[in-house]
Amino acid sequence: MLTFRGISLLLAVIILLAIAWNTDITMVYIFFVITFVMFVLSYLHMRLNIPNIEIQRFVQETAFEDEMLNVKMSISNNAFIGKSFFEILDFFPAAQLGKEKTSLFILNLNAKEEKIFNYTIDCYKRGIWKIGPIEVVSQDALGFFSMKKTYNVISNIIVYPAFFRIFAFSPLASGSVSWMGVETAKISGDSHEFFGIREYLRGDAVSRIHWPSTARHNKLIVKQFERNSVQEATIVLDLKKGNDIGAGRETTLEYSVKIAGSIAKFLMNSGAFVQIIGYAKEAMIVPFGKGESHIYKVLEFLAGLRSEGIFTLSETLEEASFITPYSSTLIPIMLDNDMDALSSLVQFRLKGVKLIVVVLSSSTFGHIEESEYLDAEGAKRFDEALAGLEAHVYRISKGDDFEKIFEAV
Amino acid sequence: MDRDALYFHFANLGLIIIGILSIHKELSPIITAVLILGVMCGFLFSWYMKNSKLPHIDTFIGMLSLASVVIVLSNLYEIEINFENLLTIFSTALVWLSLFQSFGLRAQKSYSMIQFISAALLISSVSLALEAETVYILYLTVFLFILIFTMRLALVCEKQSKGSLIIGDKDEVMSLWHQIKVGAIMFSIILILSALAYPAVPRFNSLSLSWIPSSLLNLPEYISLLKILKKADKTVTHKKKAKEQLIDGIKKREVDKDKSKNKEEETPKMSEPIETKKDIDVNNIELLAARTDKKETTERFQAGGFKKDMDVNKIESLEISASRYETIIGLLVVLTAELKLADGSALLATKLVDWKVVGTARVSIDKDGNLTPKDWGSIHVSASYMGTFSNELAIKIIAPPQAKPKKKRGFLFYLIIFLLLLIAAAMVIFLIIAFIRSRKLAAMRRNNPRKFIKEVYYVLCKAFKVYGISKFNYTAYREFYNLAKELIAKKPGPMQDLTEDFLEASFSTHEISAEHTQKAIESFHEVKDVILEREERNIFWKNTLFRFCVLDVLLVPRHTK
Repeated sequence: MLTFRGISLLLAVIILLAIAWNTDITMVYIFFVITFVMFVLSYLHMRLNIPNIEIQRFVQETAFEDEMLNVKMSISNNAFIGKSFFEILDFFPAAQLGKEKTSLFILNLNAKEEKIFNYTIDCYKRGIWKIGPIEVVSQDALGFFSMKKTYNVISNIIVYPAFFRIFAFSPLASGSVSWMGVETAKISGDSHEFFGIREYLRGDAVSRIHWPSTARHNKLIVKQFERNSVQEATIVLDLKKGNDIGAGRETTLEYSVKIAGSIAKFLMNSGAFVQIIGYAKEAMIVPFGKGESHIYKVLEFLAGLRSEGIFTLSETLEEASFITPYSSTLIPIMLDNDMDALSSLVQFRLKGVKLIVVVLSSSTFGHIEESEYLDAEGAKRFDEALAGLEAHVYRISKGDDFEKIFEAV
Repeated sequence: MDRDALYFHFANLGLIIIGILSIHKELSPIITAVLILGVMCGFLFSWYMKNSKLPHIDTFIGMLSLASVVIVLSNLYEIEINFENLLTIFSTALVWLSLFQSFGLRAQKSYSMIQFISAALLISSVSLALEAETVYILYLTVFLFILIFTMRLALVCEKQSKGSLIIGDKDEVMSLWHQIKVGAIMFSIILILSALAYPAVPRFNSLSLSWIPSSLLNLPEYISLLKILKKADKTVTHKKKAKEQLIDGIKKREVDKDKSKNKEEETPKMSEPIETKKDIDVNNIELLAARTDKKETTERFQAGGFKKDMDVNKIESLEISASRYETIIGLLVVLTAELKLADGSALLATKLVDWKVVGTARVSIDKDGNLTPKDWGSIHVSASYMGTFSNELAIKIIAPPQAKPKKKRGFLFYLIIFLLLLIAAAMVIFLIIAFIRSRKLAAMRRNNPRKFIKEVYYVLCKAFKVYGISKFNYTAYREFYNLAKELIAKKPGPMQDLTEDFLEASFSTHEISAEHTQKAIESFHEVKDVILEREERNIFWKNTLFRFCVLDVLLVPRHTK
C-alpha cells in the first residue's frame, strides 16, 4: 500500500517523466530515473521487510476501570534476515476512543532474535474484552510503502467498573426473621441471645415473664431476646435498549453501574445481603449473598452489563417483585421520566418493602426523544408520585460528585 | 525533543536550503540570500520555542503565509503569462511558504510536506537548468542524500510524535553515524542502479507515434487547447535553439550592414528600423512589411513521391497544418498534409503533395514538408494533390529582436550580497565546528572522563562571560561559584555540584567513571536550564549567545548506553 509519502513520490515520478519528455533535458531524465529507482527499490525493500515473527502477549485477566494494565510482549524473528522499522499495533477495545491501538515501533530485530518488552494500556471502559488481534505494519526504509499483516493473538480480560466511596447510606429495612439454610445441630447451646428486660405489655407471653425482676420491682417484667434478622437489598437496573442516554463513559448506564456497584459494595461491607437484577436479552440476576467472593460476582456481573434488553424497567420490577423478600429494601436506579416504573414501585410499598430510589436526570446526559420528555406538569406528577412512595430519593445529574451525594443520609 | 528530532529538524533545513539554492537563478541574489538566512533563522527560532507554544503563533504564521500567497498571486496581473514567469511565481510562492512553515515547526512534527515542497522546487528548477547541469547534479546528489537521511529519521520521529513506543537499541540504531552510514549505502545503491537503468529510459525523440490512429491525430484540429499545444514548441531545447538562432541572426545582420552598404539599396528601409529600434515588435511585422514595400511572390515546391495505387475518386479533401504559425528566420516549420478518404479514413500525404507558397518572404520546403524561412514577411501556404486543393495556412516570419543589455549593478549591491553570504557561510562553519567538537567531546566522555568533566566546566565558565561573569586565572573555582550565584540564584545546587565534580576530576587520584560524567552532564544541563529560565528584560540575545557558546556540549548525548 502506498503511503502519503509514496503517493508524493509517484506523482514526482510522473511529473518528472512528463517534464523530461517535454523539455528533453538530460538532467530531468537523470532525476526521473533516480526517483523511479527509489520507488521500485522501496517497494522491493518493503516486500523483503515483511516480518516473519512470532508474537506472544502476557497480561493479567482482570483489571479495574482507569487502571494502567501492564502488558508483556515477546516477539521472535523466525527469518534468516533481520527486520527493521516495523510497527506493531495491539488492539485494546477498552481503551479511550481513538487510543484503542497501542503502537510499538520496532527499530530492529536481528535474525532469530527474540525481544521481550513491556508496555502499559489504559483500561478506560469496563467490560469483558478481548485484547487483540495484533497488526504488524511493515514498511520500506524510507516509508513510501507499507503493508499490514494480522496476527490472531487474543487475550481475555475483564475490566471491572470503578467504584466511589460511600460514607453514609439510607438505612435499609430492619429485615425479616430469616432462618433460611439454618439447621439445628445436636450440641448444647443458646438458641436465643438475651437482650434485656422491660415492663410487661399487654399481649406478651406469660412464659417471658422474668419472675425475679418482677419480685424485685413489684411489677411484671418480661425478658427480651435479640432478634435474628437479615438485612436484604435488591438493586434493580434499567437495561432496556435505547434507555442508555449519553456518550462515552458519561451515560446513564455507566452511572447506574457505578452507583449500583458502589452501593452493593457498601451494603455488603455493612453485613447486608445484596442481589442485583437486570433484564438484558435475558434475566440477569446475581442472587443474595455477601462477602468477598460475592463482591467479585457482582463486579463480574456489572462488568458485562450492556444496554441491549427488550424489557422496560417497569417490566423488570414486575419480575423482581417475585424475588424481593418482605421487609427487605429495593433500590431501583431509574430515569427521571419513567412514570411506568414509578407505578410498578407501588406494589413493593404495599408489600412492606422499603424503597430507596436513585433517579438519574436524563436531560443532563444528552438528547432524548421529544416524546420522552416530561413537561412541567409531568415532572410535577413524577415528583408527587415519588413522594407518595415515601421513598428515600437520591437525585443524580451528569457530572455530579458521587462522594458528595453519598456523604450523608 | 530528543537528539533524533534535532538531526531531523536541521536535515530539513538542509533540504530547504538546497531547494532555494537550486532556484537561485529564478530569484535575485539578494532575495536568495535573504531567504536562506530567513529560513535558517526560522529553523533556529522554531528550535528555540520547541517546548513552548507562543500565543497566537499559528495565527501569525497563517497570516504571513496568506499575505505571501496574495502578494505572489497579485503579480499575475502585472506580468506576461508564460512558462518561465509561471515557474518563477510558483517557485517563489513555494519558497515563501517553506520559509513561513519553518517558523511553525515544533517538536516532532512531520515535515513530509516540506520535503515534498523542496522536491517540487528542485524539480521545477532542474527543468530550467539548461546551462549548468553539473551544478544541478551536485544539488541533486546532496539533496538525495539529505532526503534519505531525513526520511529515515522522519519515520521514527513521526511514530514518536504519534505516541508510539520505540523498541530497540535507539542509541545505536539512531546514532548520527549509523544514520549517515545507512544513508550512504542506500544512496550508493540508488545511484548505481540509476546509472544502470538510465540508458533504457525512453527519450522523447525515440518515441514512435505510429501506433496512434490517424483519427486521433486529427483531434488537435477540433480541440482548441490541443491546437495551442500543437503550435507550441515541442521541447525547451528547441526553443533555446530558436533563441540562439535569433541572436545569431541579429549579429549576422549587423555584420552584414557594416560590411556592405550596397545592400541597403536592395532592402532600403529594412535596415533602418533595425538600426534605430533593434527590438522589433513582433506584432508590427505586417506594418513593417507594408512600409518596406516587399513584393509578393509565388513559389511552388514539387512533391517527393507519388502513390500509384491511390484512387483519386476516393479522395474527399486535403488538409494541411503547420507546427507553428509564427516563426523566425532559419527556424523550421513542419508542414503536414493529410488526405481524407471517402471511407472516413485519413492518409498522411506530406511527401505526396505539391506545395504552393504566396507571400512577401522567401522560403523553401523540402520533400518531408519542412519549411525553412529565409527572409522575414508573411506567407500563405497551400497544397494540392491530383486536383484536390487544400486549405490555406498563414505563417508569419519575423525578424529577430535584440537581446536586452544587462543592467549594471552597483558596488553596494555586491557588498550586501557578499556580506549576507559571508554571514551565512560563517553560520554554517560555526555549526560544523560545533558539531565536530561535540563528537570529540562525546569520544572524550568515553575515553577520558576526567578531561571531559573539566572541558564541560570550562565551556560553561566561558559561556558565563555573556552575562558579564568572567573567570580570571586568579579566580578560585569556589570563588567563581560564588560570583555566579547571582546568575543562578533560583537554583544554585547544580552549579555547586558541577564545581565539586570539576574539583574532583582535577585533583582526585581515584578513578573517574562514567557515572561521574553522567552526573556532570546532568548538572550542566540543569545549570543551563536555570540560566535560560530566568525572566529578565533584554535577555533574549544573551540567551541566544549563551546557547551558541555551549552548543558543542549540548550536542553531546545526555544519556549513554
